[in-house]
Amino acid sequence: MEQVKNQETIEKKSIVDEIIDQPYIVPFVNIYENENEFILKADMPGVSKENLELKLDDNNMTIVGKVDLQNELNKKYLLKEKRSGNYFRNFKLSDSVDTSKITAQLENGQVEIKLPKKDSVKPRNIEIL
Amino acid sequence: MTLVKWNPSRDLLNIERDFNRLFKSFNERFGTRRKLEDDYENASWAPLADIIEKEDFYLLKADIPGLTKDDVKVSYTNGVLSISGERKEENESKDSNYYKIERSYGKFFRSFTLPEGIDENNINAEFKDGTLSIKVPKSEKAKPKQIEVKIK
Repeated sequence: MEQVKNQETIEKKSIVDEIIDQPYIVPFVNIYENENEFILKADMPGVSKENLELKLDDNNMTIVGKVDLQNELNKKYLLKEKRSGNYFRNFKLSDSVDTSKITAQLENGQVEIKLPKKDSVKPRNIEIL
Repeated sequence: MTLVKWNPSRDLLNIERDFNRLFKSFNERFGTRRKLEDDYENASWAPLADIIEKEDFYLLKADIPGLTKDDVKVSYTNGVLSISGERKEENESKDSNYYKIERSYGKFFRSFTLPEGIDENNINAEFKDGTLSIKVPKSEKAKPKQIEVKIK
């Protein structure tokens, strides 16, 4: 299992600059919420760990996945249903997300991002004295 | 709200499936059809695929993110190559609230009728980063040949 910590990816050279003028596709996502966190799962088949980037700028989270497009263009297609492009999608995070604790995992072309909630918004029991 | 780009292929596959269901229901009503419990009937979605032709093989690529290679079944019978399996939604628990469900999950099935002139014994498949690649080699007969014709 591969763990990508948010801070590590920021130090690397940004993939966004590389793919800025190439076509992009919006990955499909599921987002759900439980008591402690929001969980975002995105489908990015064909993306390896090195080509995935997760950026956080204030409350904007960007997922970028690079696909080898050059390799895809020079082929003889008999059937083409999949759209070619890099993956790109932007999310605005709510204030209740603790942005310092975001973690992400990439497994089999599926990214799972965990966005823990701040302690102040978690449900808690108040003791009655 | 985020806009998701419309993918016509995805919708077309669903329409094909819906029509098949419709005709199936006619047949069942009039009892002209025996009950089949195959993968196609049970499937709820179909992965999108690309097929590329190279000089000596065909390459079929299908996107099935989130699965491991053990969850995907690839089989070949009588000229038909089929892909099936199930994508489970693991973290679905009763106390979570969904905001967006865009991804397809459940059982999937897709089949492709392969052309003549393939080497069916040497079909191999690879699964990497959620993409299934199946390589179907052409048989010796079907490979393009260059014959030099002598001009007298």
